Amino acid sequence: MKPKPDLSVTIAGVKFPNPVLVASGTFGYGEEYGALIDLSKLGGIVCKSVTLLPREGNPPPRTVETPSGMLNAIGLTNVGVDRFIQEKLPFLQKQKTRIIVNVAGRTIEEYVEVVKKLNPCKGIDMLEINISCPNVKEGGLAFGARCESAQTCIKQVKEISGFPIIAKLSPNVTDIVEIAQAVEGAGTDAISLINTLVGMAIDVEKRRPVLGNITGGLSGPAIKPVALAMVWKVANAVKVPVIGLGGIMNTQDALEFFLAGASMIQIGTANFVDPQTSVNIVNGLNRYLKEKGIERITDLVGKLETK
Amino acid sequence: MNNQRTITLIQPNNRDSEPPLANRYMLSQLSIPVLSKNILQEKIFRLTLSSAYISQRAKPGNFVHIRVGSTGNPLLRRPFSIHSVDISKSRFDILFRVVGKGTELLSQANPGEVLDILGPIGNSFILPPKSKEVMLVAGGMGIAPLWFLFTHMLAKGFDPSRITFLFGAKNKRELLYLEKFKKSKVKLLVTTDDGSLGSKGLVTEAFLKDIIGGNRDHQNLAVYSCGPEMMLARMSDLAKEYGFSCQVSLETNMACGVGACWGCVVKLSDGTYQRVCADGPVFDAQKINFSKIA
Repeated sequence: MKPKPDLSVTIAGVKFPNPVLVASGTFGYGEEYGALIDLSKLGGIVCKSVTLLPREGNPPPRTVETPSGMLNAIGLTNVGVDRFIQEKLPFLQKQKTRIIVNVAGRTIEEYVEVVKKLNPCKGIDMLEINISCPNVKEGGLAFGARCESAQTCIKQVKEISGFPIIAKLSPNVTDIVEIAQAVEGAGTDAISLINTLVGMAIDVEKRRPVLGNITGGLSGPAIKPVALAMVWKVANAVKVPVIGLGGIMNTQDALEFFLAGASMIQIGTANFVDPQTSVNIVNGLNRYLKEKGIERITDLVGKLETK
Repeated sequence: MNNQRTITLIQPNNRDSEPPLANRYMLSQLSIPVLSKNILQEKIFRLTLSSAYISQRAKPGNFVHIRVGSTGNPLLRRPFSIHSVDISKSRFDILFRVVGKGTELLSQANPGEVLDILGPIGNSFILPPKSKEVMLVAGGMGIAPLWFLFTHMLAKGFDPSRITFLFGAKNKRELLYLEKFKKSKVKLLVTTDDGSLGSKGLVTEAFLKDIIGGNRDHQNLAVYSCGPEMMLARMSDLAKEYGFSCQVSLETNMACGVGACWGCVVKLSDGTYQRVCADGPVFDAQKINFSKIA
């Protein structure tokens, strides 16, 4: 009998049982989906963005469906880092899976403050630094859209972080490779991409934008080709591991991202469509590797042939 | 799919002392067969679905989140109020009008087809003490959850002669269940947009006329309403003005349906946002700031 394929992946010294994470903002703080899926089957949970102070978020409507995708403009609604530590982290600490806390801020100081407050906490494996949210006026994309600010933000966070960090990048930039190289230079341990693409929907009858925030972030299968191209470009330009996300709905999609160079993947919008998606993909990868006689998932990473 | 794995998301310490938002229980993802489909009117469908799990647990106000297609378009699930439940036959109904792609697809589901459903979701209407005068105010498809509430109240022994049901629709064809209402002995007031049955005009104005003209003690009213947003905004204004208790069931765009994404929020009078899926869909009409969502 062939041995079971090895799905484990190690990034910045953190060993994940499999390469399938659930993406920030689509999975709450884990407990919301606890009734529906076996969280221990996940490679890890990236929880909803945490900011220094609680945020109410943007005026509704906050979501609208678009062809093969959706726009959202939630606006980083969250309870703030203090309540996160008190109320949300205890549930996550009990889960038999890796926990990645997504951090956002209006200023670099805020990112640093949040990370300092998280530093003493147990049960956190990594941080994902959100320099790519398109739906807030200050912070977010404001840092991720330019090399200098992205670099400064990641550098200062890395200097004080007690955890390995992932820089989460936006596709809403002139050249994502430059930004990726900038954050690599700033010392990030990994890079995740892509966050949502800025988009818009209009109600013709009312002559008004559908979203309360006017614009939002596009996600879902509609953006997968964009995400795949960006993952491929970035993975070929940096040495740190790349975590790919953007419209992954099934095992086939996931395999495309590994071939393009992603070491891990995140499942986002697909959680809304079918909460089992991430677990189904873990099982699907296992089957695929077994069928093809591939020993390790890492053997697939970046194996796209272009010549 | 793990069909019967459940946990309690919010465990109320005491249902009686903390009733309004306490009913988030037993959410499950289920494969549920369609038993029958009824076309009640042009574009208005009632699907009967077979699920012991949901029929045993559903309370009036709860909803289900249904995957209407297997392709990427439409992508997201669609939420539907539970319209009625038959525990003895392990079935429940949803009622909907075809308004877009999602409902169009769902209307094509045939008996025997299996749907991927999350449910039951959300809180439920709080039943009033039996001393209260009950008024149910439905606009159009707002009948969906209120019919469940109404039949549930009758089953719980509420006196139909102390219940007033106000039902407004576009025209008389869309005034569903008139025969059933007649049999129930409830006081029924109907309105239509075109005047084809009952008084012509909005159901909210018929309601207002009734509560200011009918020697009603506003403090003793228990009002329940569901319908288009503008209608509920009006009900909220009236509840604030006349000081009667009013619970409304809201409908919004929804993504996850389980409280994770914060996409379906409603603004409250205190400036905070609550999730329609996880904190609602039933809210105290006096606490909602409808000016911010209308």
